[in-house]
This record gives sequence, structure tokens and C-alpha cells, in this order.
Amino acid sequence: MTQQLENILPILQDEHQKQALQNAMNIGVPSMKNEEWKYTYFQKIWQQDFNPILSSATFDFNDIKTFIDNNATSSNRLVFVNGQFQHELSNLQNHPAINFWNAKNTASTNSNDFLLELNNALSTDGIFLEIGNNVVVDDLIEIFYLHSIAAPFINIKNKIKIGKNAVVKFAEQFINYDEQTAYYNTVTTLEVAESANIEWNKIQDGGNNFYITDNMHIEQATKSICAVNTFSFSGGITRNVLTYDVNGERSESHMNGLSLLLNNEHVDNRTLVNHNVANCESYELYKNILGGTSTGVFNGKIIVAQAAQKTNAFQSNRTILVSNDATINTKPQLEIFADDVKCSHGATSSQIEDSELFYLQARGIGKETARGLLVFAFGEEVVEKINHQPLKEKVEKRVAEILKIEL
Amino acid sequence: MTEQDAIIDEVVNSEYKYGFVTNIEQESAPKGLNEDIIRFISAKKEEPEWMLEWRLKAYKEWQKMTEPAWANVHYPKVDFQDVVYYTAPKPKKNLNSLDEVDPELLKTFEKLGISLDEQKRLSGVAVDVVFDSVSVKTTFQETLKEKGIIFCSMSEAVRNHGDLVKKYIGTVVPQKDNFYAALNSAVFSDGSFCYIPKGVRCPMELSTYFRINAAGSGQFERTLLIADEGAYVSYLEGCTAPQRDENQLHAAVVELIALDNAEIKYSTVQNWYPGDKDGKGGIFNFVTKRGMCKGSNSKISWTQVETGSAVTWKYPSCILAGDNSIGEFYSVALTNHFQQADTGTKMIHIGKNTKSRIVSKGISAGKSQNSYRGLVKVHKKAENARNFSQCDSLLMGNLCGAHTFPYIEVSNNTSKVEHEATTSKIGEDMLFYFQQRGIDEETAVAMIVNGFCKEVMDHLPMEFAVEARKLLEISLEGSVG
Repeated sequence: MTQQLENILPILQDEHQKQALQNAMNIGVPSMKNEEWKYTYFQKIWQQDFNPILSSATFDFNDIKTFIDNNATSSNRLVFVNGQFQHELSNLQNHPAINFWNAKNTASTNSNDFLLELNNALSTDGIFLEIGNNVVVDDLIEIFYLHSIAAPFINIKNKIKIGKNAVVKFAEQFINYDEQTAYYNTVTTLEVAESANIEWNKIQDGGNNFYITDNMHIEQATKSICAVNTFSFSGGITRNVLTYDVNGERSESHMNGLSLLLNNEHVDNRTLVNHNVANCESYELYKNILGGTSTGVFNGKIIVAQAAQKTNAFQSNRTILVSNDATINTKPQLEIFADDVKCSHGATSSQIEDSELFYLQARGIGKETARGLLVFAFGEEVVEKINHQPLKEKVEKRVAEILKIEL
Repeated sequence: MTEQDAIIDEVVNSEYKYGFVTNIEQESAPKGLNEDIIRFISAKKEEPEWMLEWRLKAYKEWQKMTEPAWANVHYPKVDFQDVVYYTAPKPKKNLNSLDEVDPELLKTFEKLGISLDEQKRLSGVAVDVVFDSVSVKTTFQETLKEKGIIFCSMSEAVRNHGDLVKKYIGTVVPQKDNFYAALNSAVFSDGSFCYIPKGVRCPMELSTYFRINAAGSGQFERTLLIADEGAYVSYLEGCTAPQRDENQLHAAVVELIALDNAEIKYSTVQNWYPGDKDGKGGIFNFVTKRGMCKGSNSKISWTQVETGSAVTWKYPSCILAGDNSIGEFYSVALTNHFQQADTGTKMIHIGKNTKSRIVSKGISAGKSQNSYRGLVKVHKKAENARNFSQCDSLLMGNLCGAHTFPYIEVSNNTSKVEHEATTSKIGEDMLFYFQQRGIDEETAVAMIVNGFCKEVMDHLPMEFAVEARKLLEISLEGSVG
């Protein structure tokens, strides 16, 4: 795709975009020699023929509408089709306390990250949402990313600001409308003001020709709570980079993830929590259930700055390998510069205990069902973190479906 | 004390006479590194042709390599052309009595509980002839010989046991393994060689020259230890007493090979000069240590207590190739002032039913940075592999840092891998508990630290353990309050 980028460079109108693309090309495509990409072969995406989408394309409105209606779990929705925001399909624009507009691409960051720069250069659209102070949005806000053209390469950049004391729940749905191959490179920044309470769910289930590189950056102010739950059920390569900057005292950060992969998927979850101030807490729970020839990667980094005394940071990464061709690579990493802290991490990898299987079998449950139930229970701990009943049920159903058990 | 212990005690307290020092002429090579220097070193050591070629091959590989930068340590760049790669040991200035020795050094000796005679030897005071008992040492040597154990310096081994050296050297740490290993392979000055024949249980703890030979064997030592089928050996390296060394760069290589049913226990206490309180000076310790459990049912156990050196870069590892083999790693790394340590282990599970256990305790005080970096890799064929890792860090003072970088790579679903890490400081409540019982703060901290490290200390041979405990206390002096 490098050649395609070179072709695009002269067409780009905006100076920022041009600069960003130039930066990306200077940084170069990430290779496995790069510590950050040690376990993920990005070339597998890059060598395919994806078409960078720069302008709007036509699609069958009714088809898509029906598809969304069938898959939605809430009435609040924001819909992107082919990288363009769809006003007719979305319905949050008129909410009195929510400032809303699509963000044109104006940001020019100078990062060292290939994908961020690429997103800066090519992002077609995104949402800029400003949720006012003290706003409580009862229902989940669902964000759909869909496409109707073949093999698109879609860049979306979202920027969301949450006001003081606001309570909002989001769900990003990376699902596939036509099972065709696609590559999404999404960047989301989330600013959480004082005492706000945010929950962000990501459902990544676009089939095995679906590729995602997602980058989410969260800034938290005093006493805020922010939880991100990532569910990966299918996808050729999925890479989630999640960064928290904890800038306000007494705030809480939660990160949960469940990767349930039974074919040949590759999911790379990377989290980074920067504890910049004192008295904060962070909790991380990432679980992997890996079968087939799938690969799970987890890299959890917690940096506790010298000023961040009395930080409590806990991290847990647990894996069940259900097939002998699956692989888990994990690297829980702590970097601590303050002394009065409590930090821990744990990582395990194993299989279902024979004794547990026996317990169920002794009660007349067949071996395969018993195994399914135990694996389901293992994953359920993460699913339970979803605080929206319809979405939770939907995810549960999907987990059961993949594991071929009846609830 | 049993007779055996008495012998060991005598021997470790006596001068080494097997020819480390005496045979070498007082001559140094010019600064810098090139093929001629390597030829010079090889010639000086009267090495056979294959050894020279082996060194030259390593040198060629080294030239292609660049210094690794991934470790979490920062230090001024070493100019490798500004190093003297061959120096015959300088004659030590012999002092007449302990009164002439630096009183600071004596204080440390006293606290460590080192015997007066050993104190004299370590600080370069002429040792009493009576103390240097020849007969005891002969007994020691004969015991080993009777069992067929070869324990000698590396140069001697190259000359006298060439076939064994040739067969095993570089099989665990190849010449091009890493930058420092390649450098070491090209210029290694000396080291120890040890071969335990089939079915032999080495009757005594083998100590290296650090305790035996005060002159040391320089900065590029190479150790090769082979335990043949069914053999057992426990090997001690290092010394709790502070070593004042003039060489700033140390790049050692240690290779262990355990064949079927063999067991090797390798213990290290490292207390090299860590630099002064402002972080000036100090040794750079870049070591490659690796053990290969080649045979089935073999076992390699590393135990280390690291308190010295300004910069430490060290990962004693185990390759568990044989079925049912076991690898263990017990480590205490203490850093104070401006010290930096990046240390840990690698456990590579290849064989079936292999087990590994990692217990790492890091203590950082002052303005030091202490990192644990480890890898647990379970290959696809390693059925029922089992690993347990635990790395705990203790922070003392708010200017130091503790970091963990554990890599876990599992490709087998019958394996079980567990990893846990914690970081915390000494709780006020713990200190209060001690103080309430009339124990002052400094003693309380020392006791807590010793308790924190107990699991590792228990794996050290007796005589080391006692000294190592005291060493921890001394290293932490003044860092509390």
C-alpha cells in the first residue's frame, strides 16, 4: 500500500494532511523489529490491496438501516458508512445538552506513530461530541462503523469531551455488513472532566477478513471514573492501543478485555496507564480464550510518576489456550518511580482444570458441554463489566454462540 | 564443623596456587582491539590453533554488531578501543599490617564477619605462611582428582583438556549471541573450567578464584561448567567482600551444561564497586550467563545476590531442552545511590514436562533504578510445561524506581504459566510494630528486608547466606530515615 500512499500525496488538498502523510512515510511501516510491534505482523495488513477512502460513496440506505436496526441494542446511535458520518441514520444531533458536529480534519500532531499520522492524513470524518456538565444520558450511545464498497481502508478520528458530573455509556460496534474484507484505522480521544463517569465498550466482531488498528487516548480529571471494555470475537488482525493519562487526583481507571478467538485471528491489546498524580487507582483485567491457530498479545504498561504517591494499580492477564496451535504473548510491565504505591500484576496461561471438568461430568454434563460452560464462565467475568443490560445480553449470547453452548 | 567443611574453609581462605598468577609474565597489550591483539592474547596463553580461530571468528561477528540499547540503564558510552584487553596482573602492593588498610574497608569486613586472615588477604596484606596450609589444599585437590573432577583455569583447560573445551565451548552461548558475549569470546582472558564426570557427586562446594585468587582473572572471564550424566555440583562465584577493581567494564560469559540426570547449582554474590554516593565511577557489569539442561531429568539452579556494580546487565537463563528438566532462578538485586540494575532470567521450555521457577526480589533505595526483565517461553512441543514466576519489588525512598518487564510467550495448551509481581514500600504499620517492641528503625528495616529476601537467601550455600544477609544490611545503611 506504500505505493498507493505515494499516489495520494499529491491529491491531498489540506496542508496538514499532506504534512501528516509525509510524516507517516518518513516514519515508515512498523516492522516486528520495533519493540511495540514485536508480536504483530503489520505487513499482513499492509501487503493487501485496500483502497483508501477519501470521499463519500453511495450505498443502499434501506439495507443498512435494516442491518443497524437488527444489531442495535439502544436507541441512541451514531452511524458511519464508508467513513462518512450519516445524519439520517444517526439520531443524537438534536439532544439539547450535547454539542455535536462532524470534525473536519484540522489536527496536526507530530507523533512518532505511523498509524496516528496516517489517520491524520487520511481521516475522512469523525464525531466531535461535547457532552455538557451534569448530563446523564440514560441509554447507551452506539457507534456503528460500516462500509459498502470492496476492500476499503477507512480512517476515522473521533474527539469526545465529557462535561463535569456527566454520566455516559458508549459502545463502538466494529461489525461487518457484508462479510467483505476491510481495514479500519480509528483514533479516538476522550477528555473526561471532573467527577464524570464514563463507560466505553468496543465490540470487535467483523469476521476474519476484518482488520482494525484502533488507538484510544483518554485524559481523566479529578474524581472521574472511566472504564473501557474491549471485546474481540473475530478479525484478521486487531490491534487496540489504549492510553490513559490520569491527570486528576482520586480518579479511577478501569480496563477490561475479552478476546475469544477460535480460528486464526490475531488480537493485540496494548494498554498504557500514566499515573501522573497522586491518590488514583487503576484496575486492569484482560482475559484471552484462544483456540484454532489464533494469537493473543497483551502488553500492559503502568507508569507511576514520582509525584503519583499512594497510587494503587492492579493488572491481571489470564489466558486459556484451548488448542495447541494457539499462542499467547504477554508482557505486563510496571515502571514505578514513586515509593508509596501498591502495584501488582499477574499473568497466567493454562487450560481448563481436569478436576473442574470432572465435577461437571460427575453431574451428568457431557465433556464438551462442561468444557464450554467452564470457558464461558471464565469469559463471563469480563462480560459482566458491561453496565447496559441489552448490550450485556447480546455479548453473552455471542460468547455462547461461539462456544456452542446453550444458555 | 565436619571435616569436609573444615577443608573447604581452609581452602577458600588460602592462596590459589594452581598457576593463575605465577605463570603469567608481567606484560600488557597495547590499548585497543584488533586481530593482532587477539593473536597476542592467544599466543600469550599458548593456545592451540583452533582456539585462536574460534576467537577470531567471534571478533569478526563482534565487528558487525552494535551495542544493545534496549536495557533500562543509562551510562556513558564505552570506548572499546580505549580498553586494554590483556594485562598480566600487577603485583599488589604488599602492606605490612592491617593498620595500613583503609579503615572504611576494615569496618565493612568486620561487619561482614570475615576472618582476620581473609581480611588481610583481601586487602593485600602479606599473609602468614602458617595459614597457607599446603597439605590441606593437596587433600582438596586429591579428593577432586580421585573422583575424576576437572577443576582448573580456562587457559589450563584449553591446553590440557582441549577436546572437552572444544566440544562444549560456545554451545550454550554462541560467539555471536550478543554484543558482549561476542566481545568476550574474542578476548576472554581467563576463567574457570569444571567437568564433573558421569555419576559423580562433587563432594564440596566449588568456589572460584575470587576467593581463592586475589589477583582475579580480569574483566573478560569465561566460565564453562559441564556436569556429565548423573553428576552433581554446587558452584560458588563471587565474594561478599567489596572488590576494588580497576577495570570499569566487565563482560563475562558463563556456560553451564547439564546432561542426563545431572544437577548444577550456581550461586553468585556480586559486590563490585558500585560507584560513590554521587554516582561517580563504579563497574559496568555486562554478563551473559546461560545454562543448558541438555539431558532429561537435568536441573540447573541459579541463585544470585547482586548488590554491587554501577550498571548491571545480567540475565542468567536456562534452556530446558531435556524432558523433565528443571530450571530455577532465585535473585536478590539491591541498588542504592545511583546504581542501575537490569536483571532477570529467561526460561525456555523445549522439552516435555519441563518445570521452571523464578523468584526475583528487587530492592531499590536512594536514586537507583532497578529493573526485572524476564522471558518465559513455552515451545509448542513442551507438553505439560510448568512455570511459576514471582517478582517483588521493594522501594525505599521516593527518588528510586522499580520496573518489571516480564515477557511471557506460550504456544502449548497443556502448559501452565503463572506470573505475579508486586511493588510496594515498607509499610508504616510494619515499622511501627517493630518500634513498639523496642527495635530501632534501622534494625527493623534490615529485618524486614531480610525477611523479604529470605526465600532467595535460603537457596544460597550456608557460608554465603550468612555473609549475604549482612551485606544487604550494609548496602542499605543510611538509606532509611
